[in-house]
Amino acid sequence: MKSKFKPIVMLAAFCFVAISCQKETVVDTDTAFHLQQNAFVRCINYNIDDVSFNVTIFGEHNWQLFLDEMIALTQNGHKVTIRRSDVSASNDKSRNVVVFETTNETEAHKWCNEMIDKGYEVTMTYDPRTGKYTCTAIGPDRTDSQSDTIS
Amino acid sequence: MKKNVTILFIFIAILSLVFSVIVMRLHLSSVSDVYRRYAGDEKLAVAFVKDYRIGDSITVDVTTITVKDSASWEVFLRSINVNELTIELQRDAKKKGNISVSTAYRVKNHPEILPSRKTDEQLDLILFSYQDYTVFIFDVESKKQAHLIANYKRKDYINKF
Repeated sequence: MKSKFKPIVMLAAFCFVAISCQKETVVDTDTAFHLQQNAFVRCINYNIDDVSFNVTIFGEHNWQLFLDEMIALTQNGHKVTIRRSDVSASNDKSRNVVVFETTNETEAHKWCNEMIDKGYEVTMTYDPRTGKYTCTAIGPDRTDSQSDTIS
Repeated sequence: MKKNVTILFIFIAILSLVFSVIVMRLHLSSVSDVYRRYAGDEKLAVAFVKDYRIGDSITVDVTTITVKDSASWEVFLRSINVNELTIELQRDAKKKGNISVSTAYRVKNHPEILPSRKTDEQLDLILFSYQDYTVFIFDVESKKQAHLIANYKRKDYINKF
């Protein structure tokens, strides 16, 4: 091979190998939507004391851990707001109360049941005019709760 | 002759009394402890249903306590240690024309005792709404069963009212 073509060929070969070695898999939007519907994935925007965070949570176990951490924060006096696309949740900083709002009935039942299992007294209120479900979870007295600290 | 008739009537009266006591004891042995505790209260209508059907696949024993008027409703809820904020939520929902259903776990056979943190503690599910002034005490076997019952009853209240 002529010497002036050799660098070009080598560069092309290098690029080819570099591209081939990438392990990233790109899925189309239909597949991505299907994966999210069937796998447990939640994209959350949450605020702690007016500081905003975004997180994507994979797996129901991790979701439960996240929820436990948020509840621990509310029990320690922090204001927490959690948002998904169709669900929002916030707490009353002065009391051990967490409120979820959604127009999705299935999600509303799920939230209510999760909070009952954590020892909360939960009221589901349905507004027939707006179709909105509000789950208000009232926890035991602060003196009864564990004094977890979040680092 | 007259004396014999009198003795006969006394004998029949005693027999009837003994028979009534036996029937009452048999009835009470087939109902829940919660029923037995509240059945004597004249301000309450108490019922026990064995194998109450929830949907197509679940049967559960349930005790229902219905308060006869709105004035007594909040008094009764406080007597079973329902949180004051829950009572307030239900009151507000009623004023606004919304439907409100509350649920919580309680210690088995004691709707007034909140559960502790023990994982092996046996629990009942209580569910209540101002819509019909009724508290349901479900003898649940698992949290999964409790969820299905809670979902069913909430939907029932929303659809009915």
